[in-house]
Amino acid sequence: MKPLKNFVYLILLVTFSWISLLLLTFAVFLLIVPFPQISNDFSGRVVTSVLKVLFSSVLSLAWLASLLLIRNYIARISVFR
Amino acid sequence: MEPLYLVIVLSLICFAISFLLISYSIIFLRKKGFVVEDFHKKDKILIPKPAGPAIFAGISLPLIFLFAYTFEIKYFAVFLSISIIFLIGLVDDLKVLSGKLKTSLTILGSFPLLFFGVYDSHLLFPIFGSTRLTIVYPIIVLAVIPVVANAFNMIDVYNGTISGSSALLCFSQIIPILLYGSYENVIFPLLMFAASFALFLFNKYPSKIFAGDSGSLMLGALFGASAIVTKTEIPSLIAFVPAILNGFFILASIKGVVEHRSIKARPVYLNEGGLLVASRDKAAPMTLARLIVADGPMSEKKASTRILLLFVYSTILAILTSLLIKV
Repeated sequence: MKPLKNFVYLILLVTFSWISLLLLTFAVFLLIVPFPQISNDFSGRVVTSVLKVLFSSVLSLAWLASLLLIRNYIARISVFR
Repeated sequence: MEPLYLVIVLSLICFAISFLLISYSIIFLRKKGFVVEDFHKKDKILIPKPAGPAIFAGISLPLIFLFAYTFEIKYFAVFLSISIIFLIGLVDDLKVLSGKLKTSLTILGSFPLLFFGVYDSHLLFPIFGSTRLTIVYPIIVLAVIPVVANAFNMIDVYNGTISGSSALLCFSQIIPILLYGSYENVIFPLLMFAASFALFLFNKYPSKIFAGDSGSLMLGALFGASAIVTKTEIPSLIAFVPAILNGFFILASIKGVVEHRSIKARPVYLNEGGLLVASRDKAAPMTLARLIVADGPMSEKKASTRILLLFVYSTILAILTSLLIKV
């Protein structure tokens, strides 16, 4: 099979970024940020905030890692072929 | 609320001032010796730099007029924000700043937006509608100006890419504002479009002038500030995806923030025929510019057009996203 032009891969990468960025923002701002506090006391508020930051960071890092994996794949089949 | 004709007249004035001052800058900068080598040309020609002061004047004068005319603080806050970033860029054009210092200083550009409170902590999402981010939103505002300004600076790789992409990105704000925003806010992306288009006429392949850091950082700051003030954060973010990818790929390759002039291994080089070739050196950063030319040796004009096509595509996606936004 003839390989696709690199530019097509970049268009697909932008498309993937669009869909995944929307899903990521939905997940962070609509699911994690409004999540209710575990309890109303001080430690409950702190633990809830830490968990929100942790989950948001994990999702964001997973998104960035997926972009890097795709970039490395494109580089392998085009730049370093 | 400013009449629509005033918004259009001010945008035309912005274009005229930018166009005339860029024309004059080309002669002035060449005469004073403010020229740099165009690395992607076989004959290593010298190009005047920076065009930043010319486009800054073109954008600033209408903003100052609008503030004096309406006393609305948003015009002053945006003017102050882009002024700070412009000055940082100008210092970098005249005396090279380290990557870390330049990036850190650009955070100052966020302060006028935070200080004057010209933001609304409700974020408009496609399909789901609005969500309130009272604590998180000011942190987003603080990060937007440095991130967008520096990502803009990183896409200034080929002739016409910074000015062309900047002009295209404006549509990711103009159309959402006309769809669901307050139309007087369209002045911000319109001024950016007017100045960017004037620059594009001189900066497109083969470039007669380069934007410089003062131009690229300032346009980035204006795009970021405009996204916040006009409530077009999500469409702007989508349109900006190619620049985000480029910036992230560079940071991931070089593992940190460094001044681009200090990177020894070049991602793209010229072959004997004067065509751009993607370097196979593993130490060279994996930039968008390098991935674009990986299809084979190509002219700078073709590489620049391909980068602009990516921005056309991301801007269309941004407009599609804005159609899904419920107010």
